[in-house]
Amino acid sequence: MNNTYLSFIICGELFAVNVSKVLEVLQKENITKVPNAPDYIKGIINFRGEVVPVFESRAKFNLSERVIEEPYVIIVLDLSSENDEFRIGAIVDKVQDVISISDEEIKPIPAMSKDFNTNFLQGIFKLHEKFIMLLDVEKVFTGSELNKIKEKVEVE
Amino acid sequence: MKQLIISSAMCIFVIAPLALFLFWRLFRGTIIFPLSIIVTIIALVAALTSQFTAIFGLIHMVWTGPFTILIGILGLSYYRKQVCTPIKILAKNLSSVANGDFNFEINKNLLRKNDEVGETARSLNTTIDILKNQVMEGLNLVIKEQKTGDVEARCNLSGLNGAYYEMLNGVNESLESITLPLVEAIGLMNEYAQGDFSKLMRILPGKQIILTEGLNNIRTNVLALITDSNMLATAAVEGNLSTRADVTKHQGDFRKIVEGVNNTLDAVIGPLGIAALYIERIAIGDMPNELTENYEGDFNTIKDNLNILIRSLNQIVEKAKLVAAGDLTVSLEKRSSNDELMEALNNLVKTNASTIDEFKLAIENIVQASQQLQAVSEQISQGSTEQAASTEEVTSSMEEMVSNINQNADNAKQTEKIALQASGDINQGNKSVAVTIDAMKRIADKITIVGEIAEKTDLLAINAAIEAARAGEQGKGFAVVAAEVRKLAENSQAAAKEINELSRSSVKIADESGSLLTRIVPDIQKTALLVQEIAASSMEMNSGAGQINNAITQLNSVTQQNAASAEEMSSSAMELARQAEQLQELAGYYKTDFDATKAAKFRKEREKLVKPVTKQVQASVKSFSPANKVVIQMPQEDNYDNKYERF
Repeated sequence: MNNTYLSFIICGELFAVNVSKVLEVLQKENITKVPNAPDYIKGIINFRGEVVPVFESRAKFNLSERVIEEPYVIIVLDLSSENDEFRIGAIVDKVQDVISISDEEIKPIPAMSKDFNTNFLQGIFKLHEKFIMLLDVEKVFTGSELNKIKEKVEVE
Repeated sequence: MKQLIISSAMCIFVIAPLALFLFWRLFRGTIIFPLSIIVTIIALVAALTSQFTAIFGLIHMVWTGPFTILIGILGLSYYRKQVCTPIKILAKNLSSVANGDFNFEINKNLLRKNDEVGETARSLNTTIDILKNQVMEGLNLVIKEQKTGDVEARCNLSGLNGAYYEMLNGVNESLESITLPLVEAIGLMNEYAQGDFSKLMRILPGKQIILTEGLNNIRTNVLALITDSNMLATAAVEGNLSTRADVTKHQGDFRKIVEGVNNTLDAVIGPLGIAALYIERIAIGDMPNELTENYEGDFNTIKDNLNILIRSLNQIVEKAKLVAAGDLTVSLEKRSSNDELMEALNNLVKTNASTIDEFKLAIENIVQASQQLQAVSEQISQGSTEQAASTEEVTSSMEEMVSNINQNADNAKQTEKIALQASGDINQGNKSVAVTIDAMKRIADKITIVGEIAEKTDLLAINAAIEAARAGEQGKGFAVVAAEVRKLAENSQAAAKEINELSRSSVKIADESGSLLTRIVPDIQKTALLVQEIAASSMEMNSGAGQINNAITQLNSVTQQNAASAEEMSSSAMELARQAEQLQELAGYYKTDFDATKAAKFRKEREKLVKPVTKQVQASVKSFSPANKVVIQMPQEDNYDNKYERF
């Protein structure tokens, strides 16, 4: 497992994902809306010739809604398994840095955390007086959620 | 004998009655009648006696004497009683009347007599009656009535004749001659009492003329008083304040009245004259000293008010002098809710003070901005120099960069020529400020583009770092380069942002300072032009294959130019600061509330902006480690290419 993480900001809070799961960071892309999609799915984009769904991280993590004018970037995540190629884009406020974190420096989640489900948090890392929450991308979506999304995408 | 009897009988029964009868016819109703009876009786007696005598002898003549005497006595006594006594009574009554004593009554028996005595008694009674009941009663009544004030009482003339009538009529006329003038005088005095002096009293006869003179004197004196009073009143109303009446034309209390009016005018006009003089002086600005004399009542109030006016005007003058000397912090309070003068003056001072404040603030802005411009440009210059030194150590692919730099330098020189030419044109055209502002705005635009490019570069670097991380060991060098590039991009971003903010604040300063900037416009233009060169050089970064190496090379040339530009910017900023300080000196003549608070606050805010930029610039001094030549994919599409203009 790589020790390098990509840190980014949602709603002023710092998060990080392992770079092994990150394909690319995109600036604003044209997001084509998909009807009847779950709330957090904002639509689809064209990424290297492929159709990739995009979800709003604020919605998925129950944070305050994004104002239209706020800048954002899309982190394209690779959720592929052995036999199944699946990519999904996450809308976040800003990417911060690429940093190295050793396993020892990762602290576990304390009992009373933020208002969202802590399942998909791998741990907490402290960097210069700031806390960075490490996301486990595999656990952000449940299996059924993934299936639903895949259905929508393949139809398009 | 027989003869005697016959003759006696004839005498007694025939001659005597006949004589009586005759006498009665002749003398009835007179006082002679009783006398005639006596005579008859005597005669009869005499006759009888004579007859007797004739017959009986002479001896009987003796009877004549006693009989005659007896009858005479009896008869005359009776006559006296009937005639003399009443006459005496009447005479006594008459003498009472002569003494004025009417308190008697005439004997009723006398009144009833029908002879001369009775007539006399009755006449006397009538006379007394008239005198007593008509004349005296009448007079007494009139006297009584006159005494009670009934001036119209007059004697009753009815039933009066002759002298009595004349007398009482005369009394009436006398009364009349007295009361008539009195009534006239009363009527006239009533008219005078009502204020109507048009009529004179007529000339009365004799001693009554005193009444005429008295009334006419009253009239004359009162008329004179009225005339003089009217004269004084009219004169006062018409404004002839020096007119006074001649008191010698009046006497007594009238004179006192006229003197009083004269004194009143003196008492009023004196102070008014002084007040008028003072007001005249105040009106032309020749401020007199305050009045110190003490007056009475309302005059004192006028004096106090004049003094208040003088005092307040003096205060206004003092404050005006302060303002003229440059003190704009004086406050001018309204003396009343209608005081437009103080309100206007206060607004004037406050408006000027606030204008000066804005002026000072603008100058402060310039001074601060120019100082920070200087500082930042120095730091940029230094950072850029160190940056340029670091990037020189990149691999051989940097040679392409060098050639590009040279190419850029040529382009830059050409651009510089064009820019200078444009600058010269602009100078000639004397549209410095507007063009500068426009250029600064374009700088801002271009810098925004630079910023966006740097942002994209940042993102690219992140992606590169991600790729490097994913590549593991092999990507280590690449990762380092990517990290460094990222930092450069971040620095560019920060520097561009700062330049943009400085440009914006310079635009703001140029707007605020107006004509002051025409002196420094050439310098700003130069700056704008030089920064345009930076933008132009950055444009070169994006041409060709868009490799990061090119970006670094071009970035290097840009930073070198930045250094040069920053140097010039620094000296321009110094010049700006120097001139702004001169202005500060001039503005310092005006004392306002500005100085302490606003300047300090402004300074603090500026420092907040400068610190992080300074840190970033300092942090950019890192050496590049030699790395493999890396090729980094630039995104194919880039909208911003179209936005560049060629100068």
